[in-house]
Amino acid sequence: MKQFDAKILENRELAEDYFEMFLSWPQAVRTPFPGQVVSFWVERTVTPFLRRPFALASFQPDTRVASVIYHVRGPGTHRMAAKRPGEVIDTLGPRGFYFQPGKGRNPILVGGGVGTGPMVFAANWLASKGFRPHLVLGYRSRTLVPRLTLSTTVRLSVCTDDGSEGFHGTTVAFLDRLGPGEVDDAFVWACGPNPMLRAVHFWAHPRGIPCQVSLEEIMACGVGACVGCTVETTDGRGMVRVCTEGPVFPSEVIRWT
Amino acid sequence: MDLTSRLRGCVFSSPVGVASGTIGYAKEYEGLVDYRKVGAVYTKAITPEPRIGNPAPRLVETPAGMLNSIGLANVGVTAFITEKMPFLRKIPSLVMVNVAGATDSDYERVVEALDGVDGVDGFEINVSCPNVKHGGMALGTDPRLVAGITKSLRARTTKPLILKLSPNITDIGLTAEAAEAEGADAVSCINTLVGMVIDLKTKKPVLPLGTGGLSGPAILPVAVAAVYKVSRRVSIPVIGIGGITRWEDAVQHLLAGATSVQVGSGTFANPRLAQEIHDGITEWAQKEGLKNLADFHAFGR
Repeated sequence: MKQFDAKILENRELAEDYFEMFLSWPQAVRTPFPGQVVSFWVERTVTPFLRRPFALASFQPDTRVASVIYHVRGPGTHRMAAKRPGEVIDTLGPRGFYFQPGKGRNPILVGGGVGTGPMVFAANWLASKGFRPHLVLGYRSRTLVPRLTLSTTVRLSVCTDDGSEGFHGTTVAFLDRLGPGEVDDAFVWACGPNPMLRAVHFWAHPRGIPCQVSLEEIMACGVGACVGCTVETTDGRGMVRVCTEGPVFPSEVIRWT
Repeated sequence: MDLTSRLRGCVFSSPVGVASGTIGYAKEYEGLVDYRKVGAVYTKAITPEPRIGNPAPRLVETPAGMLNSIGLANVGVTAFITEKMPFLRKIPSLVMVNVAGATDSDYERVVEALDGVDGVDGFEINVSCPNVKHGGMALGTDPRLVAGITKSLRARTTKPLILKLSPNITDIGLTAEAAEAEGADAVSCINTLVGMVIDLKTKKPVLPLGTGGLSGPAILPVAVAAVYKVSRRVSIPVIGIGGITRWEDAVQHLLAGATSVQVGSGTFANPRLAQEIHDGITEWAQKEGLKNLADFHAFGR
């Protein structure tokens, strides 16, 4: 992990209030993996005061270009959206445990809202490793559905709460409709709001499908020092830090409340 | 120019320290913080037994700052010695162990367990944590209790003993005087201020315990005023903490009477903060023709 100035190469709107920021990734900074996080000190302001953490949405090893997909919803992300190519952004990372394939050859990747970025990264990464991932993304409505760049072997299914695009319903309702052939030898990776992750866990777990989730918590330091971003586990470790022991966890170790 | 200071034989090579709770056990910031420019690391508060801390959420951002309600989550003194001290011994900074507890006996046990440990340079006694029900702030807002804990710990160590004072009190001078009278070598001021954020959706406080400790630039003038007041009430050194995110803020603390400073939650935004402030203070002192830390104090007297 390093603190470095990343040059902004592009900052484009993917959907209503959803942006993707592309950054030049210095040689000296380690290659990031899907699920790993960077945090930005967006500007030297006192408000907002803290860095903003984001899971990476892509990394191109040949050009060393990385990106994050972010939702403009507060003062930090507003300032991010105003940044132009050529500017630099103070970046800290990459950080955290990432998604890793284990058992299963059939990836089902579930993302909701701001969880889109790491799932897109995971899908393209798995495709580059010879997997044929099924990427299931959920949004409230079609105006929020981002235009994504996906490998040709990624199968995309979009779900909207209001039925304005793709499947009418939640991502988990969509998973419920998958046929037996579509869940054979499957494993699930998911990122999104906690209620969605909880539902994905309770979909996968009874079916014996291995499931990893990437959690989001408010972070102050993002390096393990402040112990602010903790989550309760069931494996005897008590409260663990999302930034350090996570953000990716096997879903069964999280105490879902 | 010489910006070093001493406390019971310990030499602070830089007037900039890193505050308890914001630097973990130092290893978390390995490679990010330049410890050669950090005079002292004040560790995460250590209690006799491990503590898991408070339920989530533990943080909320506020105008020019943040509230925390970590609840003294720490590994406990035994694991601190075996797991955390090896790295702390390797860094050039002094290691001041921040000590917390629910009872006097908790504080005594931690100091006794650590007093002979190689690499532990001194103790900062946390009598001001706003996020625990017992001990902590209740202790730090009563001068008689501060006197009692100082006396008891003074009898248990010959190492530097620093009392970290609470600002959540009418007259912080009284607790400072109590600490000095019973043999404290220095006081740190200030710990966080009690604060609350209410969520308009739930209509309830965001933090599970209701309140948390406010830190960040918002508290800078409160901290500077406390340092100014305390440094005129006691003759032991005052360590200034609170709201430092630029070198100019640290210089304000020094001009107010602090002998050294600690940067706190500012490190979260900028891990390079301590070294930037070390360099900023040094350059400013050079430009102003100040030769040592006492020269900073000469202005206000």
